[in-house]
Amino acid sequence: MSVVGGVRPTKGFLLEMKKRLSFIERGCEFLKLKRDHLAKELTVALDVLRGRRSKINEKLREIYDAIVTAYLALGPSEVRSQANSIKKTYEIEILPKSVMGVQYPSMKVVSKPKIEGKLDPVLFKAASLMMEVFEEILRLAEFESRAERVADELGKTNRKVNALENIVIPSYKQVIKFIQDKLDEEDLEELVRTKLIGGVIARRGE
Amino acid sequence: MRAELLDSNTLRNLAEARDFKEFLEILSKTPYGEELANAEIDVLELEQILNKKFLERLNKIIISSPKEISEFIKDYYIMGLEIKNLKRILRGKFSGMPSEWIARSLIPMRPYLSVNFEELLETKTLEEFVEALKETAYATLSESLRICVEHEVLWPMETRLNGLHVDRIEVSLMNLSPEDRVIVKRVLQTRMDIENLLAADKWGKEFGRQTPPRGYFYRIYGVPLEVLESLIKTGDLEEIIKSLGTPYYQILKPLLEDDVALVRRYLQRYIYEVLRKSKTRSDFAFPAIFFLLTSFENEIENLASIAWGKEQGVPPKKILKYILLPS
Repeated sequence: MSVVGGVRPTKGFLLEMKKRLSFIERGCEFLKLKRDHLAKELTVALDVLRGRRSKINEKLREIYDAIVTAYLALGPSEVRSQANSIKKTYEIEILPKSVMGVQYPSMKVVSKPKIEGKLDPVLFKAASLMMEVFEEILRLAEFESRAERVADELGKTNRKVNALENIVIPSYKQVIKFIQDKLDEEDLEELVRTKLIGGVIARRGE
Repeated sequence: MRAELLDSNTLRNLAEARDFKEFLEILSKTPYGEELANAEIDVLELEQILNKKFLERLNKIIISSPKEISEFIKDYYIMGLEIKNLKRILRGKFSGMPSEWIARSLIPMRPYLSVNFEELLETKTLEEFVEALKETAYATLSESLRICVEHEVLWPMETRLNGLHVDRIEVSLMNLSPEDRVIVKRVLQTRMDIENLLAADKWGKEFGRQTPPRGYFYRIYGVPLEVLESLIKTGDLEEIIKSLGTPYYQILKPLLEDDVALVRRYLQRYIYEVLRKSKTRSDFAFPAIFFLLTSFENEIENLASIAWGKEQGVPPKKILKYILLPS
């Protein structure tokens, strides 16, 4: 379907179209800036994530080893029983934060379980290692969610920029050109008509 | 009954089984096979079966032993199992767990029921729990209640329970012959000393080298209080355990690498060897019975650990590191 269908080839409409085009071009520039910022943010986030993830994986392996040792030394029922003596669990507050207009959840530890004086030394070692890494896991989850949402927003922004650059702006330009051509044509017709009338009047005067 | 003990090859085969299913297949060909017949069980159920089997064996020996030995066995093993159950109920009550959950973790104690576990399971608070034990051997537990409630910790009550057990064993061993008494004292002393040293090391690490409250060490044996306090204050583990000499240094050496589980395994090995060497007399004499029961106790603990390891896919090398293979 032609983009010029239903277009009124008037000067007023041409001015309106030009105004809209300039507004869209400015918006497109802003979106490109946002896209570049988000891409930069995502690259940094991915680098950090890779580093943190491997560190946490290493620590989790150590924790798993400590837990296996506790189970082998104390027996499954005893480990469960001792673990049950921990009264409180982690209390976490989740708040929304924003980067470049992209919202992501931010986690804050409100209270931690108290494990001192409650567990056998074998299990205490595993539990304290787990508690050390738990907050890092929360930070990692927060960071992953942030990276995921930034990547999502980057995709959306990219699609918007592409749509504006390849579809919206060219179609506006086409409409403007069509109107301009029409107006030029009308101007030329008017000129010819004026000249013809001028010639007729001149001949009548002779 | 000695023939019922699993040899080290069988234990090794169990530890090297491909998975929990193969573990059960191997175990079903041992004296535990009867209990496992046609049973689709998980690790926790297996642990209950093993505990039941241990209690059956204890019962057989109690019935057939002279009075002083059977009384000692009741105080040493039956009370030990009872205290394990009390600690499990205590922990559950402390964290507000539903009674049914706690009940599932309890070791079956029939026919030895000196406390009413059902009544204890119905209690709602620590105060009610202590009140329910008023007419039993654990009446003095109420003395540790205040500190537990004030500081939201359980160790005062758990230490008191351990202490009551030691007190009872000490009374009971007075009825044994002087030679038998020496064996039990040696086992008891080594166990208590090692546990005190582990507790001192733990306290120092957990509470930043602060002095623990009075009563933290319920009973002091061969390792004096000054040594334990010095370990808490300085944390100089290597120096202190070196100064203690044999057998403490050999048992506690893995603690230098923070491997408490291996310390326990070395302690178990040490006690096993002490009892093995002392059972020179007939199979019906006390040392032989004590050795047999300790071997059965080690065996069920080992089997529960191997079973869990197999269910979780733990490598055999790691399992074998923490279990005691009989010699």
